[in-house]
Amino acid sequence: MRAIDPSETPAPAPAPARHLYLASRLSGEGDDDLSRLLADLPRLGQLTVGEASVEPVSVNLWAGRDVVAEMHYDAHHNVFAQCRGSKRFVLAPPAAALPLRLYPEAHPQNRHTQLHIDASGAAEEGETLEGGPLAASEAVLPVPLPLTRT
Amino acid sequence: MLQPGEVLYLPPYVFHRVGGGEELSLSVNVFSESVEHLAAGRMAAVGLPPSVQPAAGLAAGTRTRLLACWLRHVIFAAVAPEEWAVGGPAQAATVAAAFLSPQVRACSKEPQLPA
Repeated sequence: MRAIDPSETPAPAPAPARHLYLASRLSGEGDDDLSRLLADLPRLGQLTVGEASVEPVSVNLWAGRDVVAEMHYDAHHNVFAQCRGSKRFVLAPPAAALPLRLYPEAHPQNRHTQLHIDASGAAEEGETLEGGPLAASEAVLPVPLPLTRT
Repeated sequence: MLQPGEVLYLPPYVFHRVGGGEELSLSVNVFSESVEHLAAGRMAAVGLPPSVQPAAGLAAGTRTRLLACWLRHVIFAAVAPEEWAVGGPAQAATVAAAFLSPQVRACSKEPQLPA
């Protein structure tokens, strides 16, 4: 298994083994273990955005404890299903790009903010986030599983 | 807070910070292609304009028009690529009118560069 995006995998902190984190692309080719995992999720195709014929760009598995993916954007539609445990999302609109002071495009951390945003959406002391703390995830209504295609 | 059995849809370019708790978290996500991502790729493929540095010997007005024309190309690539390819600038400009500032709209043809 390989990490799909090094920039979203937490730095290998001197942490106990329970802080393992797995970010794996399930839709990769030629990995039988991953193919078997995919077979356990027969309705995953319903999470694809677009026409019925559209193939997903990637299908990913995220597993770990006490891990944070720092504030960033993805250019693709992202349908994210929580299977076990919980995750807190802090969201901000695309218009927050300037206040968030992103890394330059050529930087390995591109698409990510250079600020240190905490779980409440506030920037670290000493950093300025124009417009104040970002919207909390509670503003978004989650869709209950199972999904049905109409 | 996203709980087991819940699904969150994040549109393209929406910022998100995702934090897990002490409890083991398992989640699955699907990324799908977006028109926004495709448009960004076309915009990035538009070549940079010729040097607009004063050292290039261009008059200030020419530099401004060069930048305006380049911006037109970027906007057309984003919102009217088919019209741009088939009907040229005039047809693309009609489609992209809402995205063009008056200054950019007025830049109808590429400025002549000194040899």
